Amino acid sequence: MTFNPMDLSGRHILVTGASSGIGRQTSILISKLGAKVTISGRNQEQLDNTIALLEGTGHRSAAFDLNNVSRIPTWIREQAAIGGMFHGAVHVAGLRQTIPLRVLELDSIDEMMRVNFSSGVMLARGFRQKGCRAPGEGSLVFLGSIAGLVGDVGITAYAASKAALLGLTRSLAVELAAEGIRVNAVAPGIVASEMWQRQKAGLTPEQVENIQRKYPIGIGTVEDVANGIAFLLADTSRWITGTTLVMDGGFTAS
Amino acid sequence: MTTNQPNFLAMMDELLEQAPGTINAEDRLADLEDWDSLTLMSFMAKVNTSYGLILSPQRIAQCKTVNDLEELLNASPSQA
Repeated sequence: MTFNPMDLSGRHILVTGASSGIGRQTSILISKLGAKVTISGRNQEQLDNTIALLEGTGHRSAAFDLNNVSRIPTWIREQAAIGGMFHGAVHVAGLRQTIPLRVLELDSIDEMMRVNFSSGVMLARGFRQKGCRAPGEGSLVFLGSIAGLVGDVGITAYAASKAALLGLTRSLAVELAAEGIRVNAVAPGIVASEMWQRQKAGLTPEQVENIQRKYPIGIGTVEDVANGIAFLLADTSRWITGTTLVMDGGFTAS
Repeated sequence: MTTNQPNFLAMMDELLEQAPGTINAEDRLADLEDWDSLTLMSFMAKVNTSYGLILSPQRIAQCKTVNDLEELLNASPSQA
């Protein structure tokens, strides 16, 4: 048998935002590493497409709209009752909108904070409940963004929501350490994904080129980010908690 | 989709921080002092939140007048 330090056999992992992009790729990768995966998203058809790409058995989908933030802990309890206690959760679901300050409305701020940040808080609250996760262990991974670390035009609400998530990661890591739960985040830069395709639709070719030039080793892929998430879920990161793994091809280094 | 011209012009007034009734359909974008890249980005965001449309900056760049912008909206299928 081949030694694999990122082996996730016997682990049950919840992945939100698994309909596409990073969430889908993370689900695929951790299934290949042996995990049993419960995936969620809003679109059942797309979730079914993700399920069809997973390796191994025991995977299931549970369509859920994370806008229903207050119900998340109950929903997680229901999922644990059906699929068994969780060993990890990855919060990928998120919303990115480019809205300059002069046209930024409270509704848009609230929506981005709710989907990107508040849902993460309640996911953590649900995950740590007794009976919902394996006693004495657990790994939570949040999908942050380099937007939470460096500024840019037109994304104040999005950046604030991602910065909030990174702050949440640090404090939760301390609060949940006694329960054996590690909490970390990844902060990717731009990756070739459906979200980037949508962003590009609102940019000129020159703007796209300028953005790509800021990445010394190029923009990433969803596989790159999934690798980082899997590392944080697995025992390879057993001594790591409260940290943010920046994955940006050198964007923030330059 | 079909816009309501008074509402569209009111949106342009607000976007360009002008008093209501200042912007007219025949105004040339090149003559509007505040029609810059950030305003364009704001226009796209406002159109997205108000009309559910995602406009291409290249298509917007082809517009010469305020009326052209409105026609671009009316020629765009709703994304919502």
